[in-house]
Amino acid sequence: MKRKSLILLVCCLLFFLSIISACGENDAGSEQGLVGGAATLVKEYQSLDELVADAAEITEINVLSQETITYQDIPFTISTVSVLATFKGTLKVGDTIRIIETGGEFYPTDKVGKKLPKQTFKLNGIPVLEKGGHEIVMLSKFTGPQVEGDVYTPLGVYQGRFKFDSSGKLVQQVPESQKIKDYKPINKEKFVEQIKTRVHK
Amino acid sequence: MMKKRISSVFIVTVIFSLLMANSASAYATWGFTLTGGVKDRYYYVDPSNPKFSTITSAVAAWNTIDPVYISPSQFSSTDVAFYYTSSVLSSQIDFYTSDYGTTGWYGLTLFYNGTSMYPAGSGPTGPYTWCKIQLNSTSSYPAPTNTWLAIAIHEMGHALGLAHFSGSIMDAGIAGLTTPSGLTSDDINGIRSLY
Repeated sequence: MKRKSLILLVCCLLFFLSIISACGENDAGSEQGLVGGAATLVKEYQSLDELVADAAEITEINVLSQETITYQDIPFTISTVSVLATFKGTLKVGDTIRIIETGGEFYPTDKVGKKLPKQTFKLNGIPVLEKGGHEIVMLSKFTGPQVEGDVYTPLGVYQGRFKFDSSGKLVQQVPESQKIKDYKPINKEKFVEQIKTRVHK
Repeated sequence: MMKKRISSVFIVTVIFSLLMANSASAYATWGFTLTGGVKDRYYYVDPSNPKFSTITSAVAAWNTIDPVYISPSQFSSTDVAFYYTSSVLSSQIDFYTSDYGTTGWYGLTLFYNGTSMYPAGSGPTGPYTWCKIQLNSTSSYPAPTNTWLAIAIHEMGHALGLAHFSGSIMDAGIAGLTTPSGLTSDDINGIRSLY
């Protein structure tokens, strides 16, 4: 009798706890940091495997100079970068390439095309590469009407960008909710090892 | 006696738990709304826009909720009502489509309060009076009609005040899904929490 009651009580508690826990998971915050931004990506990468597989070039870069153009009301920053090391693709150390990203400083316009105060456009809150910036980037070839010639763009808008932090670790440049699942900031040697393993798969 | 008491506790717990489950929110909002609400408002899209019919369908999806998914007690078609206007000066949501190339994105929403714009590329940081939705029509990103419809509904969801949330039309990866969903009860509940 006592045993039956105990089982019933435990079941009751477990049921209650599972419901409470489900409520906790579903409760959504309203802060921007929790929810990403207002853009829909063509492909949202879930793993380093996917990024490495899709990258035409994986390279360590240093940003030399930048130019921001506005095309159809959206700013695009074109960074000229020098290649410091390569891990996949056809680029060579010492090459200079261009990388285009959505974002940067621009003058938005109102409904009648009147210029509004200067803004810095950060897609889903992520700033574009910065002058002097040092990163490892996973790139695809860019084609579009706003720029001519050979230009690259980071995979997954920003998901293919890994920036060196002050301790030398590579931090993926993404909103929290779009971080790839199998990566935590590590130093260059370990990161390169992980890339090479995947390139040679 | 003891058995009776435990049974009562169990029943009360189940009822309480079900009530809690119903009140759980499976959506995320910016925390700010379109000033003036979402009823009897206007959207603008140029008739020559290549996505005109998709955009019109997306607005219709928000205006009329499929009763298969949503019970009338949760939502009625009068809660959201956007009408077409050919005048960009009278609209609260403006749709544009351009070929932006292989940028990695299909669409984005920009938020304005009168003649000032909220930090571009993210959600609004205060109440807003109008939005601009930009769709990227590059031929390098071919997508089926239902995917484009989902993208347009998703972007309009941003304009109405919703942020990204997995498993709903506001899923950040909505474009990558092979069969993107239409509006879910979570999306509707999100709008109802705001207005």
